Amino acid sequence: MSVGARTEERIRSIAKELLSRREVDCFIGFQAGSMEGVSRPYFARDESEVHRLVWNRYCRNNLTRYLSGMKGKVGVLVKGCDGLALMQLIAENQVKRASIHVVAVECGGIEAPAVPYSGEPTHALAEHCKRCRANTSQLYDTLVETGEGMAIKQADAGGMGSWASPDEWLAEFQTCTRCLACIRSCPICYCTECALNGSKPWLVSKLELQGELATFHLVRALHMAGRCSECGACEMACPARIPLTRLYHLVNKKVESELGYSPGSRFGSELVGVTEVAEAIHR
Amino acid sequence: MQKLYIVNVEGLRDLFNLLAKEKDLYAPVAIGKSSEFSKVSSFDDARIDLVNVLRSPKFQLLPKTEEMFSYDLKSGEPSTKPSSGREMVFFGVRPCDASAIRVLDTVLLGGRFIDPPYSSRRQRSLIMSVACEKFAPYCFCKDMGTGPVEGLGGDISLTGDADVYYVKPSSPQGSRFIDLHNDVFRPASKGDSDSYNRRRSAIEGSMGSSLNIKSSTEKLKGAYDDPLWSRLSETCTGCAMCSFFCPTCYCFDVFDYTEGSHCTRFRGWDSCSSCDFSRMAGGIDPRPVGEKRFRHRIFHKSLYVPETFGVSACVGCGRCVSLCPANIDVREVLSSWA
Repeated sequence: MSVGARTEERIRSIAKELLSRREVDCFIGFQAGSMEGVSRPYFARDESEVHRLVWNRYCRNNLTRYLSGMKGKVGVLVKGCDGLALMQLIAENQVKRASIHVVAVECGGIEAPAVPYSGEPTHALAEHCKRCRANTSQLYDTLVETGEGMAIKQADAGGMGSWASPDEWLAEFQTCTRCLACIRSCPICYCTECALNGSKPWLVSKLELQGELATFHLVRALHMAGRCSECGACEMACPARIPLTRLYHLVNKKVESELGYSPGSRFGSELVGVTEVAEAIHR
Repeated sequence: MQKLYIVNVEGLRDLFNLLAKEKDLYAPVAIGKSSEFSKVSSFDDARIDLVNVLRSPKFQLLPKTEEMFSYDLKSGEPSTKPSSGREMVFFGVRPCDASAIRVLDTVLLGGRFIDPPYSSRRQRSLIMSVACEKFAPYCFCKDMGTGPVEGLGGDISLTGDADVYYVKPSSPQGSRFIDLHNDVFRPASKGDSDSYNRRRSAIEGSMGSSLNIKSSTEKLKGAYDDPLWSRLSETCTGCAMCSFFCPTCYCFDVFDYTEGSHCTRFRGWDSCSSCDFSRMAGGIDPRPVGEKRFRHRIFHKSLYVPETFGVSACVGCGRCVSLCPANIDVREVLSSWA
């Protein structure tokens, strides 16, 4: 039996047990997608449904995105980066630790999604996995050991990300449609009203005035600094594949070096304020 | 029978050189990881090897944001910018997207109210569609009757076969264009017609089909209150990418932008998948939860537009299928009651 198949079996049996014992009302995992190379979120609500759960390198979504607002007790499958997001969500009082059962899976990295609207699979490691800081969540109730290590050794990591020239970033931002898929796919973006989308006040208008796309992305980067788990959900959802995770990695690094704070690192203790972060980035 | 013409790649090169001088000539272009219709000056810049472009011609014909009029807050005098521009030729539009333009035409120009800026742009645009030769797993134009060789819209449709293209006018404007350029388009011979028919059957035969759209939409009519909607929509994050990239979604929001005493009224795309789309003054929202917004979008595409305007608002381009971060596949949604 392959690692994938063994892991899949294990995830199914854990979900089955949780659902049959009524320990959770719903188990959020992945199911096979409608196309080759795609797995998608799946909410199993009955033990008869667990056979649909899958585990493979196409399990891209950060499932903790669905936790805020869910009723009852929920089981959730997390990769290492998803676990960091979850710890951040708990630290920010968005998810109650007692209302979730965390199933952590040792992740060997995921495959970069197809170029939008081309259908051609990439057969390459996702960009953000090259900067993986933890392939297994520190926070869990059940651990699924796969024996898979970090997708890439930090030392070999290509594209670690450096500050490209402002012009290069501005060129990237120009391909933005402002569809807000980055925000909506992000577990950390839980605000019900987003300052970047609201019509009153207008931080960024819909008029695409000079510099507005950059304002949009830089304001979002500031909000992500020290909070982004670098799960890649935004970048993989982005129809233009703007390297958003690289941008948030850079602001994360800055906050880490200035304030010693990284996403999930102060789980259960004091959070860092947004003004502190803003000052750290300006330094 | 519709007339058939033939043109070779050299002819198209000459035509491109000529058109690029006098008009805005748009063709598929890849920009980074995105792709769109962009102005080109030569035939070799047109990326007709792409299955399709991410950004359909809707991005040019019904822009994301546009000024409607402006007015002075003190005098109250409104002023409109004259809507004008160069003629536009879109080359390499896929049959699904050409059909989508027909949907926009029907809704924005075919009813009691004419949309002036869209009308102005359509009056100066010519759509040349090119038959698909390869398909992606999310393509389903065949199911929707909008491809893969000829769409339901556009002015001229081309079908490639090695280094020649079979050319069919599909509107009076298309016929006039072909007559005007009769030095490049030559009438097809009987042999050419036979080859075209063979080529057409070969392309159509190579595309799969999975959906029985007639029976699906029929069953959808009785499914409004089905509890299944909650399960179908539970992984939807409400990102609205399905609408923004949909070549037929035309909804917009209107807003004013004031600088000093000068106020400009703009309109910009909006989507029924967004959480604030149907929110009204006083906080009332007829579709307050994602499930209702999700159902509305499917009903609007499959039932409301067809019932009101007589055209299907889905053309099977598959952008929503391909882009959805949760891989919600509209084909599966429609088949849920089949």
